Amino acid sequence: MLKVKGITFAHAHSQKKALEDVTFMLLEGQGLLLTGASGSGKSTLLSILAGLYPRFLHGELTGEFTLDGVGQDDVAVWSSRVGFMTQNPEIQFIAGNVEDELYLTLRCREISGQKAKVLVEDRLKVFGLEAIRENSVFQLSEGQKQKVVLASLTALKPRVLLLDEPSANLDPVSLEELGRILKVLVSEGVSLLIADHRLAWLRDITKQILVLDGGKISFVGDFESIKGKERRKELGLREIEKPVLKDLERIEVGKALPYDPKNLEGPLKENSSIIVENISFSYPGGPAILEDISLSLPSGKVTALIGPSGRGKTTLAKILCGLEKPLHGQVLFAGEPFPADESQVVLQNTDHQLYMSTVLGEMLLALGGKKTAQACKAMGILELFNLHHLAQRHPQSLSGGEKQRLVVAVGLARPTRLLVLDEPTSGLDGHNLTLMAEEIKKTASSGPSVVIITHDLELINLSSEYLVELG
Amino acid sequence: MQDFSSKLSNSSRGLVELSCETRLLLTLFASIFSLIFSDVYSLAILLFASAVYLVLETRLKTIVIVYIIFAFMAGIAMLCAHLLGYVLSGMRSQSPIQALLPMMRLMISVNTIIPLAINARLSGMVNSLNRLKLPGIIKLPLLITIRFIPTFLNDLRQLRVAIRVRFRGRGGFFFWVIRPFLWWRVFFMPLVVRLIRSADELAMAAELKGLSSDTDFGREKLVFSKADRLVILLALYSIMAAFLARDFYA
Amino acid sequence: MSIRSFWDGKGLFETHELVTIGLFAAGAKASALVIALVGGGMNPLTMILKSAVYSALLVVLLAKVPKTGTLTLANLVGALLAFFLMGQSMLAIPALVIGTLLVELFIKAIGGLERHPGYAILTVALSEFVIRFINLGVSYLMVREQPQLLVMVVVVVAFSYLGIIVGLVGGYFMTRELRHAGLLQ
Repeated sequence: MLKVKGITFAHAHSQKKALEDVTFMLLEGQGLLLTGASGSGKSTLLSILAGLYPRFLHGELTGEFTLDGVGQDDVAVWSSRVGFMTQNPEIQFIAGNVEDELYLTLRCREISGQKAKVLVEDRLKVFGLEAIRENSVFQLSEGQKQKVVLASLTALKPRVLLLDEPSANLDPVSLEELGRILKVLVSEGVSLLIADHRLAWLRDITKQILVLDGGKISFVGDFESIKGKERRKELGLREIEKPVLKDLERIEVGKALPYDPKNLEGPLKENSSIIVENISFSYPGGPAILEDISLSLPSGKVTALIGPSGRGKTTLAKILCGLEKPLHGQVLFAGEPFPADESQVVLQNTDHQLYMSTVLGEMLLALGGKKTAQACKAMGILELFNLHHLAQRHPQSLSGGEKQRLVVAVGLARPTRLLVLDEPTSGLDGHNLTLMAEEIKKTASSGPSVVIITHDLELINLSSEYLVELG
Repeated sequence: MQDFSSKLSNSSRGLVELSCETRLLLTLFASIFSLIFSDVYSLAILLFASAVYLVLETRLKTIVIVYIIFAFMAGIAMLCAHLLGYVLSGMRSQSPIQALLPMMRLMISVNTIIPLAINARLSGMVNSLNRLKLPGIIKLPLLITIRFIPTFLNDLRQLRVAIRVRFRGRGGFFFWVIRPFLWWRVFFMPLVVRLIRSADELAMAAELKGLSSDTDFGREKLVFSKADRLVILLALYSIMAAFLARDFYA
Repeated sequence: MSIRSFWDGKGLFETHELVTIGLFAAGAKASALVIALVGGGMNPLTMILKSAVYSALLVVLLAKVPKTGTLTLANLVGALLAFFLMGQSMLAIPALVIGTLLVELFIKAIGGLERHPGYAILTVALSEFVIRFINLGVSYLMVREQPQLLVMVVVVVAFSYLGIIVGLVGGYFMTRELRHAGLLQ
C-alpha cells in the first residue's frame, strides 16, 4: 500500500506552493486517476512519489510517503518497487535496441546475465515485442515505446506503477492496447497511479479519481460522481464517455477532384479551396508514405486530419507548407501553385519553437514590425490564450500546457492562408481544450484553411467541420 | 525518427566483416606507426597494407567517393604548401618524395578510419564499449554520448524545420546577415535548452534504472573470428616489414 | 576506497553528473561536426562558428557541473567518441587530458569554479589554448617533412580560437539567461 501523507512542496526560488497537504492511499491492485488543470501539480506529485526529490526536483518538501510502511531510501532501490513511466517514454531508454534495453534494465539491478536473458525473453513474449526485439528504440511508434518501458518496469515486479500522461501521444488503437495491458497489470495486483487529462479510456482501469487544483486536492470520487457536465466543467475536466466522432463532412481522399482546378474562374477562383493534386511521397530509398493523394481543404473552415500513426499525416502537412517536396503532384490555390510562404505550421515539440527571453518577446518576434506598435496587439493575443499574466516570464520556464498554448498563439499571430496544427492539445485539460478549440474556430472564420492533425477526438468534435482520414 | 544508427548500419559492407575491436585496434596502429616512420619505404608498406584492409572491409563505391573528397582536400593543401614554399623559401621541402610523406601518413589514417566510421552501429558500439573494460567514470558518459547522438541529430532536424517555418518570407539570407544576435538566439538557445532538458531527463532515467558507473551492461561476449585474427596478424607482419624496410634502406 | 570504486570514479562524480558530462560532450562534438558539414570544413566562418558553439556549450556544462575534473572528462569523452566513430587521432588524448587537468587544478588552486562565475570562462579559455598547442605539436609530427603545411594548420587554429573567444562571451550571457529561466540551479 502506498501511503501519502501531507505532502507539501514549493519549487526552489518560488513562493507559491506547487503541492499543498496532499494525502491519499493507493491500495494493492488499485487504479487511481490523478487529473486536474495544466500546472496543477500532477507531474510534480508523480516525480516526488517516483523518488526524484531532492536530486532532480529542487525545492522544499514536507510530509511523507511510504510503501508498505517503508519510506523512500535510495532512488535506485525505491524505483525497483515504484516504477515510473514518463510522458515521453523515449527519454527512458539508455540502450540502442529493444532487447538491449530490457537486458540493461535487469543488469542495472545486478540480476545475473543468464537470469536476465531468461527474463528478457519472458518480457518480450508477454508484451508481444519479439518481432521488434532487434529494432532501434528510436524507430518505434509511441505505443511500442510505452510497451518497452512497461516491459522493463514490470520485469522488476514493482508494487506500484506511476504513469505520467500515457495517452498524450497515442492514437486510439494504441490507446486501447495500452488500456488492455494496464487492466492485466491491475488484475495481477500492481497498483496504478495515472496522471492524465483524457479520462474516458481509464474508466475500466481506475475506479477512483483524484483532482488537483492549484496543488491541493479539490475532489475525490469515482466516475459516477463526475457524470454531470456542469460538475466536470467546474473541475475543468474532459469527457468521461469514450468520445465518438460527430457527424462531420468527410473529404474523400484519392478520388479525382470534382472539377479541374486550373480552369477556375470568377468568384470560385477568389474563394477557392487549397487543392492537393495527386501527391506521392517517399524518403530516398524508403517505402511510399503517400501515394497519389488528392483532396481539397476548404478555406475558412477547420479540417481534422486523422489516421493511424505512420500513415503520412505529418508528411502531408509538411508538403502543404512547402517543407517537403512531393515526388509527384502539386498543391494549388485558386488554380495556381500554392505559395508555401502563405502557410504556417505549429509543430508538436514546443522546445524547438521558443527563442526569446520573454513570452511577450516571443509574440513580438512572431508579429514582426516595430515593437512599440505591436505591443498592444501582442498582449491582446496573449490574453486570448490566457497567457497575458505570464508576459514577462521566460518561455522555457512555462509548464508544458502553457508552452503549447504559446506556440499555437504564435502560429495564429500572423495572417496566413493555411494553418496546420500538429497535435495542439496533447497535454491540455478540459478548460484549456475548450479555449483552444474556440480560438482555432475563430481563426478559421477569418479566412484561412485550418488543418488539425490530431488523435484527440474531443478537439475534433469541438472545433472541426470537415474530416480527412488517411490510411 | 530516422535513426542515425540504421543509416550507418545499412551502409557499406565489404568482403569480410570484422569486430569493432579489431577496427579500433587497426586504427590505433595506423595513427601510431604512421607517425613513427619517416621514410618512404616503410610508409609505402603501411599504405599498401591499409589499402588492402580498406578494400576488404568497404564497398568500392564508398572508397571511390571518399578518395575523391580526400584528393580534392589534399590537392588544395599541396597547392597552398607549394605557394608558401615560394614566398618563404626557407620552408621549402628538400625533395618531392619528402613532400609526399605527410600525404602518405594521412592516407594510412584515412584507410583505417573509413571502415570504422562506415560500419559503426550504435548498439554494437555499446557492447564493444562494455567489453573494452574502460573505467566506469569514462564508460558511463561514453555510453550516454553514443545513446544521445540520434536524439541530438533529430533535435537538430526539428529545430531546422521550426526555424524555416517561423522565419520564412522574412528576407532570406540578408535578414540573418544583419541580425547575428537573433541568429545566435534562434539557433543556439533552443539547442542548449534541449541539451539541458535531455541531460536532466536521461540522468533521471539512469538513476531510476539504477545505472551506475560500475554496471556491466554488455549482452554479447567478445568473439574474435578467424578473419579478425588473420587481419590483426597481417597488420603486425606489415608493421614488422615496415621496421625491416626502414633499417634495411637506412 | 577500494581499487574497483576508484576505477569506477565513485566519490568523484555522481551518476547524474556523469550523464550530464557525456551528453554535453556529445552535443558539443555533434554540433561542431554538423556545422562543419553544412558550412564546409575549411570555411573561416564555419571554423569560428563551430568553435563558438563548442566553447559556449562547455561554459554551460561547467555551470551545470561545477567540479574539478568536469572539463577533463568532457574533453576525454569527446576525443574518445571522435576516435570510436571517426577514427580521429588518439595520439593527442593523453596530452589533452593532462593539459586540461592541469588547467582545472590551477583553477582549483585559485579558488575553484564555485568561487566566481568567470572562472568557468577562464577554465575553458585556458584549456582550449593548451589543447590547440598540443594539437599543433601532433600536426607538426604529421607534416614534419613539409613544414609549410603547418602554416595552414596555424591559420586554422587561429580562426578556431577566435571562435572560442566568441563562444565564451555567448556562453556567459547564455548561462545568465538559463539561470533566470530556472534551467540552471
